[in-house]
Amino acid sequence: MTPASAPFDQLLERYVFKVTSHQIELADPAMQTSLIDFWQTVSENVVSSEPATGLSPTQPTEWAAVLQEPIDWRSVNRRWVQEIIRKRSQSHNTYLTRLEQAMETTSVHLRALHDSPLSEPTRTRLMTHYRHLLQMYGQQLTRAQHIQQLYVARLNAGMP
Amino acid sequence: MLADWLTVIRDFNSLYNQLSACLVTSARQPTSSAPVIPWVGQCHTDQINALLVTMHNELESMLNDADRFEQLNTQEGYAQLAVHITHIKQLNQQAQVLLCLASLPTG
Repeated sequence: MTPASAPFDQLLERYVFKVTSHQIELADPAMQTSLIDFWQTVSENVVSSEPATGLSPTQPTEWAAVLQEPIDWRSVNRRWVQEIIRKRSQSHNTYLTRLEQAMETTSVHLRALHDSPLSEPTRTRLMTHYRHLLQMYGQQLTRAQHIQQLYVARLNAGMP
Repeated sequence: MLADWLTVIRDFNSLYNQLSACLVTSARQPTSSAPVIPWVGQCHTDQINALLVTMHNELESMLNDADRFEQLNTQEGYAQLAVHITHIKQLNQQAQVLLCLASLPTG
């Protein structure tokens, strides 16, 4: 590794972080994911290049100690990622609520069909349609709940 | 816009690493340990070093710009980012030329 590469990685990581954190609100979800992925790749480079400097046998002098003190970028970034996950988790919760509401409404419709004055073939067809809808919502709900669990797990893992 | 930025900065990172790797491999070759001027392919190591320094400095100045992002509105932020994209693109082109030269057999 060239001596210049470590500072370059750090600069790049800080630059990417700055731009990403400033622009992420304006980006669509797919873009947000790509931004976070790229930033993660870059920050992993910084982490993996760090042990090399940490292994340096020289005693930490006063200035080295001072230099090491400033902002811990990774903790700032971790907080930032956590914030993003929290926001996503919140909007995901809204999605879950809407799904549950949709299921509720469909069930009401289905129940109402039982004593409706509709003629037979139409009634059965409608009931089948509602049952299909319920089934589909149910699958979506299971998937959404799983994703929500992942979010919660990630948030809990990152808590100090 | 943001997609453009992501593409060029990704290339920027990978080109920088490739150029650095070029220097590392040239330093390992026995011929370059001789007092002759070191070449990688048809590209002088000084050229590579100079470009690496330029890329490094440009990144530093872009980071300084980015520190002021909070004071800009959306439009100004995009304009600033567009300038960055142009700079990075130019440096990427230079890096690609050098890498291309470096891959040629030494004349």
